[in-house]
Amino acid sequence: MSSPKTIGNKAPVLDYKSAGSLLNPLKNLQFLGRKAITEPLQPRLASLNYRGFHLNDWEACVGCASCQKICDNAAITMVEIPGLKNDPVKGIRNHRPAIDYGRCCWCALCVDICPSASLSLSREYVHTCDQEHIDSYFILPDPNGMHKKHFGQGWQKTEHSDLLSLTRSAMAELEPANRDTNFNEIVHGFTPEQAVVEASRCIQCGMCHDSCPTHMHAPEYIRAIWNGDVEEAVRQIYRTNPFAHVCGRVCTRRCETACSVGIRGEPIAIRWLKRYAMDQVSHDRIKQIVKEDGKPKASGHKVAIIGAGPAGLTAAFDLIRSGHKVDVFEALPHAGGMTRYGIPDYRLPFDTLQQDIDVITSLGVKIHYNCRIGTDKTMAQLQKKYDAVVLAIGLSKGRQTRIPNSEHRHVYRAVDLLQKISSGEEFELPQSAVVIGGGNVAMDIARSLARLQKQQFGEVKITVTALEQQQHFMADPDEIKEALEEGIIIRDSCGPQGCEIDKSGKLIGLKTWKVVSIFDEEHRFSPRYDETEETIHAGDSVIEAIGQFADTTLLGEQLTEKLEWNRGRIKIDPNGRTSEPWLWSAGDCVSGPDVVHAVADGHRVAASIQQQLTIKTNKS
Amino acid sequence: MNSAQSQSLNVLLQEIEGIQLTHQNQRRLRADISADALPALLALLRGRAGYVHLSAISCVDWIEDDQFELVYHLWSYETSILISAHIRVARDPGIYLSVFDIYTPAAFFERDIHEMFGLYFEGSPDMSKFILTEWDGPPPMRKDFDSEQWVMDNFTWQDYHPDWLKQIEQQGGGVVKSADSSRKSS
Amino acid sequence: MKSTDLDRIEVNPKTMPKRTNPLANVFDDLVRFCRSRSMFMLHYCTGCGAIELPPAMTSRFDMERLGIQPMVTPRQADILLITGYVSIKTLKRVILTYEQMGSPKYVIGICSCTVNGGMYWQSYATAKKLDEYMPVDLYIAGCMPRPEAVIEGLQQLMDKIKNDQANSWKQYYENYDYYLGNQQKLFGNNWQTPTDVIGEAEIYRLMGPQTLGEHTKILQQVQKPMEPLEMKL
Repeated sequence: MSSPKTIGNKAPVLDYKSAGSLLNPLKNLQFLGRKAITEPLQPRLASLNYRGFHLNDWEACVGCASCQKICDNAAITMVEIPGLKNDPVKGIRNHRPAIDYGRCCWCALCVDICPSASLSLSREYVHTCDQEHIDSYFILPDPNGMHKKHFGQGWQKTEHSDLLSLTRSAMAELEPANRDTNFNEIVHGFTPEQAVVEASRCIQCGMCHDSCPTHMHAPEYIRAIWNGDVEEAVRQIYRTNPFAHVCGRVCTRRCETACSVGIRGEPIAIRWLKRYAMDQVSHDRIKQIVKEDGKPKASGHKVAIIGAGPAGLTAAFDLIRSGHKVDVFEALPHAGGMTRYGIPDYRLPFDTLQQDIDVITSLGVKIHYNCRIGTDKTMAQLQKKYDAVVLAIGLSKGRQTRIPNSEHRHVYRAVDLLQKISSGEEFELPQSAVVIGGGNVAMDIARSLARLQKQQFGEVKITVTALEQQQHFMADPDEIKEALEEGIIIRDSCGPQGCEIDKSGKLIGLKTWKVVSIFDEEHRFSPRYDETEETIHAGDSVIEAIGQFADTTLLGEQLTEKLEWNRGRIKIDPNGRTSEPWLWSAGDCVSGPDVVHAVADGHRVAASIQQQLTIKTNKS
Repeated sequence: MNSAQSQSLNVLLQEIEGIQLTHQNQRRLRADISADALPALLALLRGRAGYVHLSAISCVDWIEDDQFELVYHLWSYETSILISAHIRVARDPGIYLSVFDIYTPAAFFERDIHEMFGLYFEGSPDMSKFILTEWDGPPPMRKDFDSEQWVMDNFTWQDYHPDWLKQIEQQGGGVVKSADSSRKSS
Repeated sequence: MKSTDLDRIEVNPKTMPKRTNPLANVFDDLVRFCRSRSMFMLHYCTGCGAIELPPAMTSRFDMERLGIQPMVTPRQADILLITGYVSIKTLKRVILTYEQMGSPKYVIGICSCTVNGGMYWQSYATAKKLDEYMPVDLYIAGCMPRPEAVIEGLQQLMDKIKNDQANSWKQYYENYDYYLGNQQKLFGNNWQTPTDVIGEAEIYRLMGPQTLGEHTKILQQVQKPMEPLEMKL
């Protein structure tokens, strides 16, 4: 072959037809001294984003199994590891992924989906073994690498590869200026487009299901919403929660605390999605869906429930569907308990609550309004007439601070005022008020009064004082944000020391000391104050919102004696049964103030009663 | 291709009864016809429109409609328009006519479809096994064939038991059966 | 592998009896060394992993510097590299090929698929575990493994041969009944190959307690003398 001819600056042209010189092969000798291009026998270092063997940061991993679910090769198995943290309420399981390299194809979808960003791939890629050591193909990745040698991080989650969407779909709400003089609902709820976008963010890990007190099927109903099948969503919601409208609006939403998407971003708006599903389906259709199971066979048993709140009515809902006759006794003129008389209209409109109650009564639950047990009927009468009695009386009385001058007539309990506002009763609206407490009830009363003050006087004069620092308030952060927007002043770390009264006996304010610490070394409640930092919060009335207690006077002396008690609460077994075999207790009065806990309690008690009554039926 | 050709093709195709034409784009024409009319359509295309090439026959299992869809992809070097003729055949008994007499290569496509879907072509020269010579299960591309289930029933998997797993099992842990079995139920 | 399977595959205790002549051992070591330095790898590709072999063979990673070269016929090859998924149809050919290779022969399973099905685990058409059908000397992990990993695996195989540890080919004779049983499960009871494995086992003196069994009985019942293939176009 002849040498290429170069013409001008152009590339050399090969003359294939030329026979070439006989000595041409000797030209190869010029390569003799050159360095070979062959790579050394040792494996080279892989590139920076190489997808090698897995690494897993056990501290960050929450065991949500998203990696297992996304793996199309079924290469990932979750392994339960005793001794690791296991806290469903916080959204942590003691499971860690194990990987089968007889299946894995290193696509790294597990890394891209991982909500905690704990999984990554290393730059290590050589593993060989013989038949006896085939078990080495099944590994439990940890931060140390497959062969305990550090090869460096390869493929990791980046903004571009992340499969999660970390921000919530936007939702319309009322602006502060449009809501501070009325009780209109603040949140508008999702539009269908927004709901589908929000539902698409869910990775179906089921952490929400585990953390929910009543174990709602949130992954299932979110999936149904995503599929555009809202009726199926309602069906899934009603599997565990008859207070669906209520929980779609005011739930404490432990699910969102546990949500794995919330580890690095905003959790799925599970509460608003539930609300969306409920709002999309007409009330009549919801009633039909609930009745799909068909009418149960009448059992002939009768159950009395005292208190038509979430716990009582959930128990009633379950029991009536098991074929028992259920009578609910409610002391007040409306059902709903705290959700009716404690939660203001702007958070939970009464008519949506009424829809939930209507679904339950449409099944045949009979509610006797204005019937106070203890005065209109006695417990003894109920015991005689019914096979089982459920005590679901809630926490109706407000706790008092018992600070000096707190017996003044302008010192109120928040629950009493809220009840007056909701039932439309006349009361003396304070021109300025100081609220003691940092929970949701404190926010509810402060924001309700603020609205009334704005209506009547045109300005808001409300101060909220609490022991805790603002970031540790028990109240929902949204509530605090909205309260501040509505012109309420929040003073944190203030321990109430006494109500100030002037010479004429008029209440002029609340004296507080700065809080140094709330709990002692043994985590017991024992606040310590800095007496030098004293503040007088001006106000012509003081409202105590520091908690509630149950009014158990309805039991009567005899029964109170007979029952076993535990620190002022009726003692119950894990199923809600008291020491009296015919009496169960459920709801806030046993498990503290929370709607969804009350619902869970209602189910638990109903299941226990059902079991008891079945035994009774079988005997006779 | 020019519009005159396209128009004459349209006119020609109207000779087939009940034909529905959809121009998907300039060079793709979809024709939906009844199964009975297909041989006539193919004969017409081959004989009078220069469609000498049958590129493929594809099959779709519409299990909910209880039908197979057969798509005949035809190509003409003159018009450069790809015609896909769609027909529906009942899934049961799953018998249709061979077009081997019109297009010889159809024999392979039909044999393949018979193997994968179980649809029998009457008049096709050879309906014996084609690619899946080792297969005697149900036609695997039918929608009612559950490949995963079949694999689970017929194969075994590695039963790994490495030391780390033994250790964890001693402590009371172990492999979690399925992702959702770890969920609490109410 | 199930525990019952593990019981079946046991290395024959009567491997090579230690020879008394000290020079004989030196000679054996030399033979093994030479064997490990001149291997022919059968040019047979089953799955996607084959794409990593051209770079491994050619100048960049250059497996020839290890004395490993591709070879076109099974009868002259030492290494059977199973490069990925094996469809049931291919498996038949793989077994035919394996049986035709002269002993000693070495099988390397590369990619995930040869271990536990890999990404084709749901497929009705692929075999899931290679070791059910033939003994495997070495696995190389990856999907697919890089050429470096392949080279690393081959070096490991060379070490094993030098140390007299790569004797899986003997297992095929010693546990023929087990492998034949798994093959019959896939291909039916009429399955037979042109190679007389049992006869070879006798010649190699590798007849073990597991060589014959219920499956070889079936084979002997259905076995027909092989006829030359009819060639037709």
